[in-house]
Formats: sequence, structure tokens, C-alpha cells
Amino acid sequence: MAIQDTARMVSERIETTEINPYEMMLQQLDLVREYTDISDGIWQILRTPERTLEVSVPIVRDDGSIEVFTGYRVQHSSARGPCKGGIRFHPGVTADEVKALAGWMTWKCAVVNIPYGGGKGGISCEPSRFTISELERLTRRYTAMIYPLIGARRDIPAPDVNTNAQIMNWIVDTAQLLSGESTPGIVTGKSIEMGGALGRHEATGRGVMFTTLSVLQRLGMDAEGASVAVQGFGNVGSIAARLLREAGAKIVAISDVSGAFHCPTGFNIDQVLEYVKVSPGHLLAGLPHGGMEEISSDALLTLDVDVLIPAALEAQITARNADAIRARVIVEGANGPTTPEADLILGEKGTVIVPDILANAGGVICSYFEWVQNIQCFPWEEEETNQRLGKIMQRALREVWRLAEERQISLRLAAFILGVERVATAVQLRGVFP
Amino acid sequence: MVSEAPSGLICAEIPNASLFEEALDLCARRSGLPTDAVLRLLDDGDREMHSSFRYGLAKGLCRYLAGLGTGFREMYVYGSSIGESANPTSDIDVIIIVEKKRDEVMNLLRSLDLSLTTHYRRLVGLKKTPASLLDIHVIERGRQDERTGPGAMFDGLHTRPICLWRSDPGSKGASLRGSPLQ
Repeated sequence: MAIQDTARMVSERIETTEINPYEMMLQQLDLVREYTDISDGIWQILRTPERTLEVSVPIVRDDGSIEVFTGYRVQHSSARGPCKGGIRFHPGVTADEVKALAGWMTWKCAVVNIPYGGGKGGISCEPSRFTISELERLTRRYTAMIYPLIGARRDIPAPDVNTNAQIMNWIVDTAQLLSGESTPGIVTGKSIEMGGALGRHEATGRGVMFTTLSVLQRLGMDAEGASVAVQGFGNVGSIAARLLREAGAKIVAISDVSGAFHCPTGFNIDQVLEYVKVSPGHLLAGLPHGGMEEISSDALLTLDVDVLIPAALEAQITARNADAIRARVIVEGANGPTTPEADLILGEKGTVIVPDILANAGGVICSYFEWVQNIQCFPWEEEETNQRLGKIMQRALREVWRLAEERQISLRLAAFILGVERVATAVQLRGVFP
Repeated sequence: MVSEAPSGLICAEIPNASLFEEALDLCARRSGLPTDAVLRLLDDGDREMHSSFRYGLAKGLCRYLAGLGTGFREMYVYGSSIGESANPTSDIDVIIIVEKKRDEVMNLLRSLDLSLTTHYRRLVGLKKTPASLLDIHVIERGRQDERTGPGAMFDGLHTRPICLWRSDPGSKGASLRGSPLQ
């Protein structure tokens, strides 16, 4: 039998097989367990979401037809505070994915030590198929269906994949109509006019900047003149680049989907930001900038720089390019840019990787600030948000760093351990009801 | 999985399809049967075929780990994969000698196990499959001589592991050339 026939038979059987994300979350948790002394009982609690709600979400389409979608809201843990986590609209949303992401939010909030547990929600749908009014009906019906679970002191959603401030505004409005009370703290990521926090737009990028500066300081590297390559020039990458430039770093490479660009003397980031405001699709292509050359996206990742900030998509640093990466520090602005194989290779080389769970936590920290302002009915100045964000990020990095040094482990594992142990302690202190 | 998966949910890059193809081809060569017949025997739980299949997978795993060019030094297989006694629920007993037992190594091996197990369940259309396809013992180089724990198996008469791969002495590891990653 020809080899091609074997390949065909194998692909017919396994081609569509996906790894269950919830099993992956449990696997990560089991790895953490090898490094902790959490009891069996507490471990069982940590492995299992507190609540999983599956809802049917019917909407009337603009043509009068009715279509029914499936939505979820999962509360993984409320041991440290109300559950916190985004809502995503995507055809790939499944119960197990939402459960996994809810668990991950639990650890993320705990790593940066904000008083939240973890939750997540979503609707399995393709939002680009909807008109604005259909999207509004979908959001409002979903809100009504999960309303028994959410609340400013129970579970606080936020934007995630394919959801935004407008969708959060609709959730607040629906909840207010259902309860008869003003409840701005029921979600975060709202428009400023609806109680959103000043500084929210910049928070994740600002957090990446704080983390980068703290790591450089810990490594005895001077931020002034440090060379930085930023992959991804969206909300996170562009803001991190601007703030690092303001802090004295030299941004020598930037990229987005339209191309990657290298300027050894450093980009004038303000000039680049002005350009993308008006460029077609707000992309970097066609950027007029002296001393710049276009390079491949792969070449950007392997430039000889002090800091590499992958702030685009997941799985960018892989077994194929990890060995060629020359950056001394990688700060994961995006979620999951480094595969397990690349992590292994980079760890062997001594590259310092600040994991996403810590590096891009600025967003959820600012969500926490928004919630605090909402429940106190006392909005802050943007400067206050930025200052507090810096303190929390620097404290979190310090704690993770210390743990990694004490136990001679990676920052990634140290961050997970710190988060999981904090949740385990809270569960232990609460005891088991009744 | 939806995009924007955080690091705790990022899969290993293991090329499952090519590893399974190689394992099936090994079974076909050993038995002289066409691949579809091999698959049917696996579906039926044939022990000899399951042993061969596991041995083939272990060899593929070796090539994959060697291709990472890091601190993997030696890999051994023992148990039912090297006899004729494996059944559909058997795991693959593996000993991996590493330069240093780092958390990244353990994380990757766990991720590999989950990926291979998931795809194996799908490939072999059986209801009863192992909870975990790989039973990996990781030993730091130098400590296998202590002959304690998994290292004790090196002295066993009936369970003595077979060495499937060993990196060149003094090398940093194997090169990527010829690995399934390419």
C-alpha cells in the first residue's frame, strides 16, 4: 500500500481532532501540582468549575426568521472574589473552551492579586453575519439568560473575542431594565460615558511597558537605549511601543499584518502612530520613515535585540524559529505566543520569558479599577489609574520573580504556581459548606 | 479552539498525523499487511499489532524530541510496546534521560501526551482507550546510574528497556534535520 494511502487513512480519522482546551487547563494544573503541596480535596475543587450554565439564545433575524444559538457562562471560582472574565462571540465557542478560559482567568486574577475569581462566557455564533440590530438582540437575550448568575458582586463580564464596549453597554442596559436598578459595575469595558474607566484603552499596553521596564531593571539592563522589537501594532503593541519609547527605549522593529519594518536607529513612534491613524486599514504598509527597511515577519522575531514583545497572535514563537531568537527578554503581550516546544528551547538558551498571564494582565487590572469606581460611584483621573496599574504590575512581577528564583523554575510556571496557591489558600480558609 | 488561547492552553506542535503514519507503516512492514488491514486489526484490538504500533509511535516520538535540539539525551521504551502483549488500553512506557529536569521539559511532555492520546482515541475507533497514552519517566543524566525509581528498570531481567535513541556525546542535542518538525 502506498504511503499516500496511509496518509489519507490517517487524515480521514484524525484530521478534525482538536485537543480539548479544558483537558489542557487540567494538564497545566496537574503540572503545577507537582510543585505544590495542595491537598487532594482542595485540588479536586480547583479542577472543577463552580457553575456551568448553558443557555439557548433565540433571536429574530431582520428578515423575520428565528435562529437559536447556544451560549455559556462559566464561573470557575469565586473563592477570592466575584468571578471575572470576558464574553466572546465566535463559532468555535464550546462549553469546554469556556470552562478552560474561566479557569485561566482564576489564575490570572490571582497572580496579580486582585480580588476576583475567574469566569468566562460566550455564544457560539459568527457575529459578522449579523446586522447591528441583530447583534443587539443577541446580546440582550443572552444577558437575560445569564442574568441570574451575573452581578457586580457575583460575576462581572467584559469584552473578549468579537465583543466590545458597545456590547458591554447593551449588557448594562439590559441588566438595569431587568433589575430596575443602576448597575454599572455588572460589566467592565464599557464606554467612558457609561462608566468605563479612563486609561482602559491603554491598560494592557501600559502593563506590558511596566513589566518590560521592571524586568530590565532586575536583569541590570538599562532601559535607556534598550533595543525593542514589537510584533503586532494593534492596541497592545502600539501603546507598549509608544510608552517604552517615552521611557527611553529604542523601538527598532515593528510589524502588523501588512508587513514588518526595521529601523536600527529607532522609530519615531509618534510619527508612526500619526501615520496609522490615516493609513488604509490603519496598517503600517506604506509607512514613510527614514532609515527604515522592510523585513519579513520571521526576521523581526530573530533580530538581535534586548527585548522582543510578541503582541500579535498566538503560537508565533515555535520550534522552527525559537533557536534563532536572539532577544534576551521576551515579554508576551499577546496571549500564548510561545508554544511549549519553543518555551523549552528558549529556556535552554537562558532567554527570560515574561508569560502572558502576567505581562498582559494590565487589561484585567484596569477592569478591576473600573469596577471599583462603579461600585463607589467615584470616577478616578486617568493618572490615578496609571499609577495604581504600575504598582500592581510591578508587585506581581516582583512576587513571580522571587518564586522563580527560590524554586529555580521558569517565570511561567512560577506565575501559575503563585496564582493557583493563592486560590487554594482562599478555598482552604473558606472551608467546605455545609 | 478559538484564537487568543493563553499560554496554559497552547498545544504542543507535535505532528500527530506523520507520527501515526510512520507507526502504521512500521506495522504494515512488520506484518506484510496493507495499512487498511493494519487499521482494522488495531480497531479489533489485536495485541501484536498494538505492540508494533506503540513501538512505532515511540520511535517517532524519539525523532521529534531529538529534533528539538535541547537537553534530551536518551530515550528508552519498555513493557508491552516491545513484546506482543499490548492491548488498546495499554500505554507506552518510556524513559527519557534529560540534561536537566526543567519545568519546560515536563510541560512539553504533558502536552505531547495529551495531544497523542487525543488523536489516538480518534484514530483507533475503540471505546476503551487509555486515559494517557504515554507513561513517561524522566531521569536527569547521571542519575540513571543510581538504579533507583525508574532507573532500577535498567537492571530488570524482564523489563529491561530498549534504547531507541541517544544523542551524540558532548553534543548540544540532535539537529532538526530530518525531524518531523520540518
